[in-house]
Amino acid sequence: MRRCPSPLALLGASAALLVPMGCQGTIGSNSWTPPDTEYRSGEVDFVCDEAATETPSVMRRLSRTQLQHTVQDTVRRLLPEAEAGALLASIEGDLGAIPQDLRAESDVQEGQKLFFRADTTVGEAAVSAHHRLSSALGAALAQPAALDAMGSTCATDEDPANDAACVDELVDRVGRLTHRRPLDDAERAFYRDEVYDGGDALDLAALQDLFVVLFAQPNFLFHIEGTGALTPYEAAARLSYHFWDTMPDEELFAEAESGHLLTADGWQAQVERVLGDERARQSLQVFVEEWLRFDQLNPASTGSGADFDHIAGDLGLDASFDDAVRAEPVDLLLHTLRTGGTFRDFFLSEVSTTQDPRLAAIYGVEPAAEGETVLLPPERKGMLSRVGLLLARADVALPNINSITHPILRGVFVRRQITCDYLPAAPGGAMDNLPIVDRSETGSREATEILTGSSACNNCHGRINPTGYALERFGPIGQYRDSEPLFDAEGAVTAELTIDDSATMTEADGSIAGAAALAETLYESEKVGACFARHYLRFALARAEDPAQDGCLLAELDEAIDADRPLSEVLSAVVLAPSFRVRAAN
Amino acid sequence: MTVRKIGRRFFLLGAGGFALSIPALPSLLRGSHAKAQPPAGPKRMVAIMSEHGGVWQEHMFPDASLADESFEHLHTCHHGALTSRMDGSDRVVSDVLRAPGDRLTETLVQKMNVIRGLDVPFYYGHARHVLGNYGDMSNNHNEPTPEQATSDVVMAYSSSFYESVPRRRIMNFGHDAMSVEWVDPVNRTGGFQPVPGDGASSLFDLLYVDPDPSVSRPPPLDRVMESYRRLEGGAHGAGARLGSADREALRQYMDRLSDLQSSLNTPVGAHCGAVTRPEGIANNLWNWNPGNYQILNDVILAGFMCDTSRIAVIRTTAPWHDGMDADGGYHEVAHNAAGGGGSVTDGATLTRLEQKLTEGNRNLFAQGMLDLATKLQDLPEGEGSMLDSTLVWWAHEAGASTHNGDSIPIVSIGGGNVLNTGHYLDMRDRTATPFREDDRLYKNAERRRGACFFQWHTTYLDAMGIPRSEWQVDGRTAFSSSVPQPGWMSMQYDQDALYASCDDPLPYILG
Repeated sequence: MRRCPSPLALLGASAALLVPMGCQGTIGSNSWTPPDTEYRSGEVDFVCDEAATETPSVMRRLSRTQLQHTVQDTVRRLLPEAEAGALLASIEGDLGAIPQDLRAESDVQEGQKLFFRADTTVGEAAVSAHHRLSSALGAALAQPAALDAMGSTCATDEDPANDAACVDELVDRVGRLTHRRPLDDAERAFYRDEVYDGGDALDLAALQDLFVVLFAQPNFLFHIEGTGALTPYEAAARLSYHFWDTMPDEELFAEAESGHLLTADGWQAQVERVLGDERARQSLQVFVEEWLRFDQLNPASTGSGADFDHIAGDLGLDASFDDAVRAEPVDLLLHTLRTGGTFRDFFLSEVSTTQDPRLAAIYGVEPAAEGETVLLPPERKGMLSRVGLLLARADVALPNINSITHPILRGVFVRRQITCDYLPAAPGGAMDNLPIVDRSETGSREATEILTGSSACNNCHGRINPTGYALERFGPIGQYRDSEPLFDAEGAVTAELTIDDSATMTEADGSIAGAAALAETLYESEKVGACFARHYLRFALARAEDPAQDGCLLAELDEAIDADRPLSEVLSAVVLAPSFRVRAAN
Repeated sequence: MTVRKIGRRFFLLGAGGFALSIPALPSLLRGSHAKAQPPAGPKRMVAIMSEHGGVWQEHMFPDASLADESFEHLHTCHHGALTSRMDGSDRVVSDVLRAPGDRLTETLVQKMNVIRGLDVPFYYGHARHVLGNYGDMSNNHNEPTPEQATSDVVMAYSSSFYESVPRRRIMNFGHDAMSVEWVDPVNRTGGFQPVPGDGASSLFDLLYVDPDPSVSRPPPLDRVMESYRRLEGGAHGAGARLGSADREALRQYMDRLSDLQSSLNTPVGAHCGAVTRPEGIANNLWNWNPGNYQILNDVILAGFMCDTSRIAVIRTTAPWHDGMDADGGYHEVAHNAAGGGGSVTDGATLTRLEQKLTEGNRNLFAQGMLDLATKLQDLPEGEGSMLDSTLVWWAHEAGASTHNGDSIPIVSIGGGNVLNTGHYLDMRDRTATPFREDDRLYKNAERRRGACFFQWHTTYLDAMGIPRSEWQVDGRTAFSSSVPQPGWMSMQYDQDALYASCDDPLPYILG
């Protein structure tokens, strides 16, 4: 049994995310008592028990993103590019109508969210959307022009002699894609004899029904995997959906068909190929954006008010700037992968990849050329000083960005998503009797102290606030600053306060100062790597990680990070583990 | 309503400049149809929830003196007939409930109810209690996780409400889920899951059914079902290796498919042929723009006219006011308007911000809710209008102080076929000590303990004929839990008495 140091879960502290925040007043009898289970209450988190059984998981449907990609790829595999594009344009509304996935609470780590791809809910809206989508696909593919474009001229010619073979071939060809494996005899007979009701004659209406069923049946809409060891095709699908968020390509199909995929060499080679493929971006982007809670981000383009205008100047922060902010962490992650870098290189990065001139201007550097990097000023070292991580985010509505930084929001974000610290929710009554703070006279740090000054708040805010203070050198949209301007209601500057970004951290001896020191301190505490392992495993398995049953895998990831093995090895470790190709009985 | 004939269909020009076709109902009512006195329409409901709250009570509600008849319920409450007055060209029920008199007519006022003094007696974060779920699915602020389906879902899966399966049980509009349903609604088991929001355009395409049967080919749903049945049966291949939980998931999907199949066989309403696609419709219409919300109203109307849905839920996060951004956005204005916890320290600024909130809520009422009510009122049905069989109601997320649930406003229009209208209820205990949450909070003197908010759910569920056995489950009397919550608010109540009264229908409104 191995034991690895790890962060603990953190509860949302949702009430504390409201702005302004604080917990003065009488807390009452609802103060939080930590659960006494080992993995939540101690410093030891991951427990690798070789005898632990695999964690059962319930069959999932394809996520919204996965279903959209899979439809697009299926159509592109059936039709030439132009015709595929036209068909996909014709069903754009149906693809867009697939309901958004829901981000469920983790039942293992209170207050933590699962990734969207873990959503197993199926409601009336989803079934209805699936129905409309499959109907649209069936109708579009059964058009003579589409059949011709698919090369199935036998379906549109005048020769009845080839009709039966034509239907057989379409069943096999389309069915292979919509099942993500070749049909077996029973399935072939079902589609040919029971679904297609045109007999041996070519009947376009019957063909339409056939296509509808092929796109509505469970093998298309769900991740169908038997329990026990995965078959080669199931493993191929699991691999491609993990790294690409879409169906296997023809090479994976061929590897599965030959059986080579499940050999040690074959699997290793395909993992490397799939992770190195351009399509990996679409999955990694999903991971990074959800890990960093970009779904909660208060976009810079929504900033408003005279004080914000003073801060933003002539940067021209619009939706494209928001896109650049969101893209930066995933670009950096991909750069790290391409260059053989480690997770440390990523988290403590000293370079910028952004090509956006506004983002580069905030960093005080030139935009990077495509595929290149630019060295950042030393105070920008590490991910914590990137705009995408500095902007306020919360799972409640936030005020528009203005001239004020939010040390509490920043601290909660770092402690929740980056170090996985345990923070209980603000107790009931914590928001009562909040003192009013005149922000035209009071800086962010002092305001935070006033709002959270009572001893009852210190248990959590003792960790939250210093984390936020260390980032105070960066303004509300991430610009470096030596002083904090205060504004009156008309947006006029009333004072300039000297920035104090010193912070006393439990992870460090003595005081630290600044974002770079914060990033290094947290990284050296090993919390960051362990927390990343946790998030990534949660993403890879599309379920809550189980610190007991998944302990070995968590430990392996954690150790790979601590040993500074290349990031590609860290990301591959999950899929290279034997457990990735096994599904527990449920 | 202006009706003009275009081809074989009629169109209504709405306030936002969009076009909505409505049936040539006046002509349908001529001759034998009119003389036959057609029955009232089916029961329908539209629930609207606007975020934050924060409107001062004196602006949200009619003057308290207009409810001058006392009655006993937990304490001495008050009732009055709902009245209005003209101010220039506007008809005024309260500062918020105000609109041009040619739109907010006296007839409509008499189809309204305004209820004050319904409380969720504890501090909460962002509880979506307005549908009976006061545990926020996405953000648990120390509240219990939802333990039952919300009231709209209870209605939607009750055979007492839908005698046959509609195309869409609930039209669900909004950024985030507000409804909570059973994972397995057929058996009402499997835990609970939030219901995602619908895109307006996609939903319209689902709800509108072309009356010309040649247009659409019956879908092969029986064969789709069979494909699931074969896999779930597990005779071979992956099916033979599925786990029991997998099979259960497939069965649940098949139940949904069966529901879908039934819905496609449900006859479409007679007025559906008169519906046309609203101009400007798109899936994402949440940004603040009255025209957007009027399109949502048109989609709801299409569902009702086609009788392909009878319930709509709207969760609006929009500020309904163009000037919020200048003061930090809707959230900031709503929080500061309550005067507590914000950065505003002077009364003049606080008053100015609250005025924006009042104006925004007035816009929601006049341009959103009233737009829908007017359209429903303009559609004859039975001896009255579609509004008479449709309960449209609006609640704030919170009361006059954001995150606190005292006097959460309830404003309803319509539904006269199932409940009484024209009433102003003040359920507060006017003799109770005013809440002194915070000396800075505005109008503490108006804030006194009231009655159980969940009485509103009891009232309309009873009115809609939903058997109580379908929602008084797991020992709960209403959409509430008796779990006491700490904090200054809960101390003001006799919690046991309060929760025991949650399944009392509101007097005057029902019975």
